[in-house]
Amino acid sequence: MQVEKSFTIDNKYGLHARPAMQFVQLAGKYSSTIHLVHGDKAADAKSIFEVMMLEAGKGSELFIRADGQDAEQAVQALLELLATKFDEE
Amino acid sequence: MEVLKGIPVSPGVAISTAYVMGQQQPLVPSTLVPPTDVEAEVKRFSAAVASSAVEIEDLKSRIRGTPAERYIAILDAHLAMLTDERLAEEIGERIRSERYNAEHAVARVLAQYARTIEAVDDAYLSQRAGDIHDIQRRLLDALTGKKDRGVTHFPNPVAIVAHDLTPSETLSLDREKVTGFATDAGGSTSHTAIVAKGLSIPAVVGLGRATAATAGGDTIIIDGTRGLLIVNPDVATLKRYRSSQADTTVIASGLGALKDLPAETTDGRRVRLMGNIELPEEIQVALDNGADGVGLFRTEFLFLQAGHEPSEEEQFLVYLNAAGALGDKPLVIRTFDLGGDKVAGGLKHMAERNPSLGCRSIRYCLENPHIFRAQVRAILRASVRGNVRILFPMISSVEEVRRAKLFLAEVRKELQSRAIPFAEDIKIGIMVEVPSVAVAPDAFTPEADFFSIGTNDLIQYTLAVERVNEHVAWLFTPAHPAILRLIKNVVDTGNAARIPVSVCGEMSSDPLFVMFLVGLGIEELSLSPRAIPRIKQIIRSFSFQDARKVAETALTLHNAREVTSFLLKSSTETARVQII
Repeated sequence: MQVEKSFTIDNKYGLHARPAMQFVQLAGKYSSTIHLVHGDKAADAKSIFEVMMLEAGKGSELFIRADGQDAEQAVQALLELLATKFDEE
Repeated sequence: MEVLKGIPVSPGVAISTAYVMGQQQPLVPSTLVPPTDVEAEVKRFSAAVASSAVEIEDLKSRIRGTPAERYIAILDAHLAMLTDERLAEEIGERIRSERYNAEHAVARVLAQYARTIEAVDDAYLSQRAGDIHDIQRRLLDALTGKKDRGVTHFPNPVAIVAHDLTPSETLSLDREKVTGFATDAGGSTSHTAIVAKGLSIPAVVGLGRATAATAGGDTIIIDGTRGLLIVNPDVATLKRYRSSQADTTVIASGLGALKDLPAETTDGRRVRLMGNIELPEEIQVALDNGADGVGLFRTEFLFLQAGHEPSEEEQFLVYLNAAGALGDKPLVIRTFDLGGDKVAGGLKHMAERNPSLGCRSIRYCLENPHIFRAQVRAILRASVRGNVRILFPMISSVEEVRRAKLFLAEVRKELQSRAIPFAEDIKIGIMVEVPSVAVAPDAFTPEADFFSIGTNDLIQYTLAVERVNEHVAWLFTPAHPAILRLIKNVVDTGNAARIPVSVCGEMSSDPLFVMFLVGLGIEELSLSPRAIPRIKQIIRSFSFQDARKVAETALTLHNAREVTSFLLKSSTETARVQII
């Protein structure tokens, strides 16, 4: 199964180290391959380095794609995490 | 005595013996491994990852239960980086295909990652490169069998001077022994800075040559409030800092009594102290601190808070309430001082190679009349109440002022034709923050009712220094002779033409420059509301006559260091309060 969604990075500082870590940790719990696309860059959602190097600052428009059995759940869970804005101060 | 200027990241003062940590990047042993040893080399890397992870876990358990605990997430992010499969794959690949030793592969791959992150056009994200350096150093130390740099075990109190401190070193600092730190590198939003602030460790970063100027054992003062590192301070400076440390609480409690007293020199020259505010709520703070009005109401929050273009009605209500809250005290509203990227919420990002010289501020407003019209209409409509003035930012040419005023005249006509009331005699001022205006202010006197000198941008544009850039931040200083002379030029021209001149920007809340500015003949300072009592106390402690002499002499000096030392010395001698 393949699921694709687009979203906007809305937390104050973007996908920097700590949010990237939470994102990557959550992505790692799913068996699907998950990719994030920002402009002409793509990242494996399970690699913190790749996610940080997406340059996804606040306001960036991203696009997430998951392939695999739990693709649907994975995308939903990751978007929910983004919606919490990582509880930044 | 030597005074270095850097980026203040965590307030407070540390006076201690210096502990200087050597150059951060040890030489990376670079060799080629024989084909038969390649797999063993990859294993060596995996072992380094494992032992580094153990170190981080150790550090985590060490800071549990201490104030540093809330930064554990930073260490978790480091763990996630260490164990990132992409990193293992890429390093394994380097070792296998190019037969690099593990040290070389680690240094190369992580340096590449750090460079990529550093180049990101987002100040916050780009500073995460510091975390990558942290991982890199940890892995290299594990590979070369080096122990940590020992920032944890000091027998006596020290202040650390280092090229850079990694976030995890900062987290592991022994608060009993480490009184503060100063670094050559670093920026204001790095994790190192954030941790220092959170743990109340006085810290200054981006000093450029702190390690070069300091020798181990030197006495140093780290002034994390003003961003100074003072190496081998003279007796007077040391005494001043020592007593100011002791007096801080006394002064703070005594300042409240000043609220209703005028900011007046001992020989009776009155200075108006206005508040710089960003949010309407701060008006009350300004009044509580005894402000004579609001000299700078930044309006950008309307965009940033709402996330969309604020309507005329929204703005009208904000301005009207603000004017009402101030009664007949002036409210100077500065029109939007934004880059095009921010206005459009980051979506319609205009690719400008040099945004601070690009289409921003008044330029952007003139290019986007619907935005500008809504704001100008809202300000004019609000001017029926209180004492509203309008201020145009980033003016660089007379033509811009004329265009902005023409625009204002058209809006007035519109309002008149619809019988909407507004103050006919609203005062129009310009920000003097571009050198072209500060050099030739007489060209602008016929066009403006008042001048407001924006020192932050004036310094940036005059000295060609971006203050948030750690590599050049040490060059950013109001004490540069060029800045002092430009300000004098504007004040003299304004006074001759009977145009009020005020100074906003951080220079006006810096105790060091008060005497100079007042001595130049400035009658109005606009500053952060909480700084008002302190500045008032200083103004009340010297005479205008003395201040004039100080200003005169300061203007003859040739470099920022001389100016700083002179102002420090003369303000403390003449003014009876401690300047620092």
